[in-house]
Amino acid sequence: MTRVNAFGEFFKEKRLALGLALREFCRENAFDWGNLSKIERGRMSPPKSLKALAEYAKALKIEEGSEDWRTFFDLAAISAGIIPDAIMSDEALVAKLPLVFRTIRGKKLTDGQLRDLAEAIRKA
Amino acid sequence: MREPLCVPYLPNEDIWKAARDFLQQTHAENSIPIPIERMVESLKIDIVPMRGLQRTFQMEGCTSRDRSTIYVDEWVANHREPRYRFTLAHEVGHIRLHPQIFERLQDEASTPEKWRGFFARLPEPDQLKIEFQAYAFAGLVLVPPQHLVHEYDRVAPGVRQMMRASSLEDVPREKVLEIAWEKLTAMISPAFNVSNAVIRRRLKFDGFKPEDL
Repeated sequence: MTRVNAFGEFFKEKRLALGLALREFCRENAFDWGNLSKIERGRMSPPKSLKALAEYAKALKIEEGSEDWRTFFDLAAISAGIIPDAIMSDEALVAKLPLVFRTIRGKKLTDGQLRDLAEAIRKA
Repeated sequence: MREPLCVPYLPNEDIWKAARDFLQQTHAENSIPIPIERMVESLKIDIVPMRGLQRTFQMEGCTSRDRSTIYVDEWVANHREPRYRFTLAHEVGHIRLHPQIFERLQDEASTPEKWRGFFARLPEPDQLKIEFQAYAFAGLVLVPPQHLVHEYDRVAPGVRQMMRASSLEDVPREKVLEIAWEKLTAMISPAFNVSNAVIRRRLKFDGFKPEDL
């Protein structure tokens, strides 16, 4: 488990153990899919609010007061201090740039659209 | 200068083998509807929602160069579930059928500028071939042949009964067949949580014909 994203990886492990895809988990618990996706991938810090963290922990069926409960809060505190919430660097972006074929209208993306797509992915 | 990208022709049997391998690896239970989201995540692939992917780029999904992330349009995922499910299966199709293209992209696109140039060089016929193969893979994953046969057999008797009733009213047979085929696909699609269009293509792919009703 990498130190930087220890919280996100722990979160994902617990969610997958429930047998739920991220979208299903968010829908069942009225969480924002986009934000939680970023938290799991280490692209956004976990919330600082203990109440919000407890909501996540309960949704993950982590028993209050258990070892996992403590780990969850400890990792959240650590991650909150080290995940920079920064824009992805060019180097990191290159690995995440997609294979793009035709659009749903059967056209190729223009150079300008590809440029915009890369920027959208940088923020995703 | 690198050799031009050569996308091989894949026979249907090869596409089906790749789809079957994926199903066996990630969904041993073999139930329908196919839980494609969980299957994708079980391969350690992140499904990342993006706002405006469809509206701005006319795309419903795409896969990162390192094959660790499938980007999907958030609105489609939340409001058009059958389309979203098909998009996921389609993207897995690229990952499973076209590793050589991802590898070439890995080698040749070391900067965002080179990434943009890569697609300008990809010949149109190759793009069509690649897309067709991924479409076929997605259909086979979401609508596996043995389940399609089962659902067809379940629904067809009722549709035939409807046709018999219609023929009493002097409706031309071609028209009856057309309506019956629409009815049949609409009755089958909910079991797979896919669109009627996917069922129509899958029935055709597996050799089912309206005239056989």
